[in-house]
Amino acid sequence: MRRLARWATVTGTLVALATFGAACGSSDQGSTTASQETSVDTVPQGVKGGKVTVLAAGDVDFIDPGQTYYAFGYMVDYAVMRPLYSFAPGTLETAQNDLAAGPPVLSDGGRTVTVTLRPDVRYAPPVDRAVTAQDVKYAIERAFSANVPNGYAFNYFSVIEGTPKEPTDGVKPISGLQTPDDQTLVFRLKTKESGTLVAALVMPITMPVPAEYAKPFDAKSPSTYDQHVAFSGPYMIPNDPKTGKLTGREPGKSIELVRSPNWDAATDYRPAYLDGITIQEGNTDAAVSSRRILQGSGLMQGDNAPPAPTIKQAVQRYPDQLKFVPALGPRYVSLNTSIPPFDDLNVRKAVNAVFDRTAMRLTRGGAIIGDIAWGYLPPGFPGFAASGGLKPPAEFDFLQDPDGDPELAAEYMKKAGYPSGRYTGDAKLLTAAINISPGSQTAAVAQNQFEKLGFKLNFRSLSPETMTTKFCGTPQAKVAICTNVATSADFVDPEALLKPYFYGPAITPSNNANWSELDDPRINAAMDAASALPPGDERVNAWADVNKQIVASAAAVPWIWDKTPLIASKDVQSLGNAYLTSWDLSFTSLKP
Amino acid sequence: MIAARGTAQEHHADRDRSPAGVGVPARSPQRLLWERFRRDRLALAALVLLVGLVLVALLAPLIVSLVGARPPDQQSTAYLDAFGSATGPGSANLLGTDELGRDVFSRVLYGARVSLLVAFASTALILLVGVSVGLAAGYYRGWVDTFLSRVTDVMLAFPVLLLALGLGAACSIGAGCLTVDYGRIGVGLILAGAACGGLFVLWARSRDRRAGNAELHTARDALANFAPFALLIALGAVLAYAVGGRGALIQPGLPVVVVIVALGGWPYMARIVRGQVLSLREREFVEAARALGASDRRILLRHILPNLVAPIIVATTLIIPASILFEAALSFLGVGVQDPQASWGAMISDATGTFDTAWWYMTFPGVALVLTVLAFNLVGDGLQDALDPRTGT
Repeated sequence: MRRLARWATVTGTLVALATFGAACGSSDQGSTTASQETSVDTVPQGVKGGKVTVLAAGDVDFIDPGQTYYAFGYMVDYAVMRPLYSFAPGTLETAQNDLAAGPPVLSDGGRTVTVTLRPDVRYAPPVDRAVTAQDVKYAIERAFSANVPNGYAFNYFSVIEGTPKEPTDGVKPISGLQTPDDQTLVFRLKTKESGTLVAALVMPITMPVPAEYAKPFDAKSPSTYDQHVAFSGPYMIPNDPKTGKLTGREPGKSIELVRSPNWDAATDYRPAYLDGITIQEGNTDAAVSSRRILQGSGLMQGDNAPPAPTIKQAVQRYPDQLKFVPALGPRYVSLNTSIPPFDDLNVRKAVNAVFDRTAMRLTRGGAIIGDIAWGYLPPGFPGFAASGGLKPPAEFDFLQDPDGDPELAAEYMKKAGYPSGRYTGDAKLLTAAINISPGSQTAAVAQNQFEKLGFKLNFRSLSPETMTTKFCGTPQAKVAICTNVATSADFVDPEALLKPYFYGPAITPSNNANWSELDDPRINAAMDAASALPPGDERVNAWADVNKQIVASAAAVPWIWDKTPLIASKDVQSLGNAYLTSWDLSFTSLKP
Repeated sequence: MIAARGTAQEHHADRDRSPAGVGVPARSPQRLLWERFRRDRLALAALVLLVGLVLVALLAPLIVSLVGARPPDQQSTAYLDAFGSATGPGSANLLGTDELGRDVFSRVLYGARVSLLVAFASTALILLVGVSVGLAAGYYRGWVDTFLSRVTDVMLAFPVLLLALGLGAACSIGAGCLTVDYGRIGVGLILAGAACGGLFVLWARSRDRRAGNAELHTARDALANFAPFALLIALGAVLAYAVGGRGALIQPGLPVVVVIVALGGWPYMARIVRGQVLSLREREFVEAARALGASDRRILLRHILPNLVAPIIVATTLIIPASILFEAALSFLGVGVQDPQASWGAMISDATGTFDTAWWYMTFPGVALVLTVLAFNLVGDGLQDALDPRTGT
């Protein structure tokens, strides 16, 4: 769901102020840790060499790091390229120095961010030279050009001085990006609020792109660099040694990854055990591909999660082949607070009270898939514990019973002016839902919950794209209920999960991410105040308080903090990467 | 025995001659048909099955209640395991549950309603359009035939499933398709029909009076003259009261499915009817009627149409199962009947992901679908045999 969530993320007028401390190590207790060298103790010792095959339903969106904005694209890109910072499997608390030699250094009261790069990282052929700071500078600059459509550059990186307001014709220099030498990259910012930028340095936009090589490709519209990517990671896609044209990728069919001859293990925290990885696409039937993976050899899951019955099967018969990584956001049902009767707080509380969130969770596989949610910051995320942890605070009586409390719901409906305890109005509420499994089952259960209170729904089953773009993301469509909302943070900071989705000023006429259209001045002010806070406990607590205020507004029905199930064959060992929400190809090996 | 060469006209002749014959007891065409049909045991069994199916569809709520099953759209986590997987057949749920804990038995029963409703409604539309077009094209020939036949050809050449997918997707979003003020149009049609009909009747009576045909301007003739305008009024009433308040002619849900299925089926009926009419219009009884001064409408409705009953019945028995399958296909592809309404096609579609772990969920609606379609086909074959003298005794 990262893609869907990201569509929503990028569309909002997000001015996420996450700090590197929060993104890269601020725990819920507020202890801030800078980026660090990785301890590889937790990495299973695999066999060096060998090959595995990844079974995928579709293709990656892009290999080009300036354009990819999809979990499957990330899965591949983070194995073949290196951003400034990245997350190792198993932890979202501490970002690792990747291309960077150390953590970013803030100066000038936060208006200047300096990153020092490792000197010894080299591109694979045909570029075949050391990566420099100029390459990262160019990578960021090109993401602001019209030829390299990027989904988030304007949201997270426009704080840099000299960034354009609109995509540029051709790649233009950005004055706030300076490279005093080959290993130093300096970001000069428009304001002192550097948190968002620093947290976003884990994103693929910071993967280096050699200007002298990429410029001819970037001159085309759209850029053809996607077919000529220069690789800086442990793996590469085979290419023509003269032109750099990728020969190991057949869009829609397969992608081959082989070792980069210029990768030096001493410069990287990734073990990169495997010699090669084949990504086989077109495995659209998740049930079939999951069965092949579980019963086969040398196979692992790509972009399609196993269906609920397969998860059950895996738990019972192949427990060692199943792992979970936490999702970077909750799932919820949005209630449009600008549309009657949901403009009434008591009606929204009644809906929250009646919801059988246990039934909702069963549509995705039950308790094993995740905890029943009551708020918008998932377990392990900064602000989760400060909000109250797994159990909802007592003040939220309408969220106490995960199976739903029809009597309490009826009471709230009576308070809202419906003496029977059920909705008796004439409105037929436009409801947008996803039409593919398991989202369609979730929507069917949600529909049932609304009908318990007498609501009449104008129910629309739609493709995820249509639901997002034409319905829920367009306020003019007047959608009262969106049954399938999944958010995902681009980086680890509570603001990234709250502000795009519940901030009043973030409501836009199209590509709107605030599907509840919540515009509460008190909550808006609390968000503004929390955004301005520096890293640390105070900031985390402030966002935790915002989280609770949003819950109190009952603008949506949160129902699961889910985990992404990952499966692999019995002879494959791998680690799930929570940031990628997939297996980490660089931490995969064949069992001895 | 030359009785009954398969047309109603000649059945009538046979019946009329028998009493003056050599003591052979008179048998009506219906009786002859039944006697022939019941010799086909398979078709008879299929007919019994269909009658049972119709009863089940009509009495579904009663049966569900008597059996103690839950309503078809009642979800329950009590019948799901810890992983949210459906539970199999048992005393609580005769045919197991689906992934939302709904009773498959109830849903199969209610699914019969949807299948039969779509089948009969769309077949009625197919008959209305197909027979009208076929009659007009075959009887009038010339440019009327050319125009209607080309339209039919275009429809036959169209990839109907693709058209259906497009229409289904388009009309399932928002208020539906063809959104205009049908209330006003309907009222307008009613008023126009009444006014034009009244004026025509008055004009016809005065014409007959002037011509000295006093016996023609009776109340019965006036009613006959008004009949075409009554159709206009009926159409207006349907538009005004059935569609007017809802905004769109093709509403999301069942109406979309009915229209789509009818759209795909009428050309076949039109072709069959046109072919028959081309032959019938040259027959002696038609020429005789024409020589007696019968109007085109009278010839078409009183002389030709009765002779089309046999092929229409046979074609209908084949169109109905095709319509059921088409509805199932549309629902399977997600543009047909929408959840929570039960449809066999949608149930099979939902079950594809769990066919290896929840066999019952796909099996029972699948069996119901196969049996129903098979029964209609067998009855159709039986009727064809019974109506076709070449296979008779």
